[in-house]
Amino acid sequence: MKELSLVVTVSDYLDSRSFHTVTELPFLQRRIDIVGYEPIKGALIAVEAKVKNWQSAFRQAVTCLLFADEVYIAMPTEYIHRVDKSELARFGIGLLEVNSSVHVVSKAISSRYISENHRKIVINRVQWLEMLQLKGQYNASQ
Amino acid sequence: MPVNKPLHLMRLGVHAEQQYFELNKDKFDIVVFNANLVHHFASATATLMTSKLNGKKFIIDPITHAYGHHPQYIMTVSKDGGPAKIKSSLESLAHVYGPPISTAVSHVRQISPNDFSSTKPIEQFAKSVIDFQANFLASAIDPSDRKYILADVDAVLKPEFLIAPYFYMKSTTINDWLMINRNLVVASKKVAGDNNLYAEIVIDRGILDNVDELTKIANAYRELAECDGYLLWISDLSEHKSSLSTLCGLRNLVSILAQSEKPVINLYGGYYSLLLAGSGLTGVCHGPGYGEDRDVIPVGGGLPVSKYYLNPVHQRLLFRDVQFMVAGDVWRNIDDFFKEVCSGPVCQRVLSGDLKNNFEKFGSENVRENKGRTYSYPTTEARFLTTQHYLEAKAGEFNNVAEKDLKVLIEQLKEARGRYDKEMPGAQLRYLDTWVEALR
Repeated sequence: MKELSLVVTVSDYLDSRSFHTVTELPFLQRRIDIVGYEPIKGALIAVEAKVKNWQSAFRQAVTCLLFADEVYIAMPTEYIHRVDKSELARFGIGLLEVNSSVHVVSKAISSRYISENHRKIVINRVQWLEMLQLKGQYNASQ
Repeated sequence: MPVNKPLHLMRLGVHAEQQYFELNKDKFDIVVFNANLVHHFASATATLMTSKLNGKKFIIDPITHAYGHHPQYIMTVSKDGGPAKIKSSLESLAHVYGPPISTAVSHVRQISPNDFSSTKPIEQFAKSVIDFQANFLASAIDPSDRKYILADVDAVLKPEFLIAPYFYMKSTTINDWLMINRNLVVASKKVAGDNNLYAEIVIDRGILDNVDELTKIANAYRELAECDGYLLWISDLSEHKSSLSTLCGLRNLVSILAQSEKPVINLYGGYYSLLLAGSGLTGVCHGPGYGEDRDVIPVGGGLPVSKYYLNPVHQRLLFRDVQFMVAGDVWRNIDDFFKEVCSGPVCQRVLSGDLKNNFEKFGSENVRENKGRTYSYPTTEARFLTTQHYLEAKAGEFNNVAEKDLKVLIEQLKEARGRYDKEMPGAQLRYLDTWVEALR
């Protein structure tokens, strides 16, 4: 399974749960793989997807704790055993197992690192990216 | 015992950085220019040193090593799709330096030891490089403008010391270049007059791991009566990533050169270099917010990234990592932050009142979309704040090294390792252990 497939599968999963989902959202000079925004509840979810290297996903996921209510790492079934769940739990980061569907292995805990300013910035960027996608100016798979 | 305060040198990489030199004029001792910048922006450089930085000491690194690498490393691709060309600033400087450099550049080839197989090219080259440093800036002032300059132009535009031409050495080329580099120092001294002359030693970092090679080079320079001091440039030596053996090698190199009782300055160094003051290092150079290490081969810059210098660990960390620590209450309140991290003017001004919200100012960013991709990059204000904070932190480090015993400074490193290691997910603070071990 390639990272792009992971991203598409998880995005579809969030879309089906009423989230407005964008990919490759720029934030603090990184691109967050998937950000889902649910406008009615005002909930933000961020997901970092990696095929094998969970530590790399973890380092990126930590940044997401600054704005997202819940942060997850997504990995395919065959490599999920490599993840150190206790390290994720230390920061309240959840884990998603991805094959043809998405299974929540461990649920994320509400982030205690959120900054309201960063949260507002990210919500604005979700809306900006959605607009670019609608206009066909944005290609996250590039 | 505390040591003399090390000389604080700052390298001006591009003229856009002038504001930092002006604002921090009292925090450093010597401005370092690269010769190609001086030549390319002669009037602007001369004006800077006779106005905003009037009275400040400076030196000009002749960067002669640039002509010893394969030409592809000093070429740029033409914007109109034409063939790659030697960078104009280096090409024009080559013509000032004359043969054999200008000849090599004209033929788009690198300079080789064979170009210095007799005494004449060595003497010619040394003379042109020394003449350039000694006289070029003063000659860049239009004679009709001299009356408008209050300062004594010739005195103000005289470098603090001159630097002999030099070429880069790695394990496989020591035998080719060491004698030539020595001869260039000897020839330079003959034309340097009353000016102090420094030898610049530019080597591959791998040499620091090889005791025989390191000792051979260090002894060759230590015994050079013709030079009045040493400048070190260990290519691509990151103090934060180097092994114990490499850092011990740097200390060893400094110690051997210091036996000459002449100044030894690291041109690209950080806090570990400063701690080598006790081993004989007398000065350290860096740029405004960067430049604690540098490869002799130019490498691409990439998009700018916000970094905040976390003073207790002596490293520029990604803003997002420090913001994460702030958000995670690593410091209980603003007073703890001022006490533990930084209470300099910039941090006082930016952070006072609300640490969590105000710290974000160091990382504010803009976004843009280009050809279907989106980017975020630091705002001008964020870059200014992080750079100013860095320079204030650096000034504090130079003072600390002079005021505190090395044992106390080593204890501080151990404390920082214990205090912050667990607080930084994915952080690598092992270098602090390596520094402590290398300084034993």
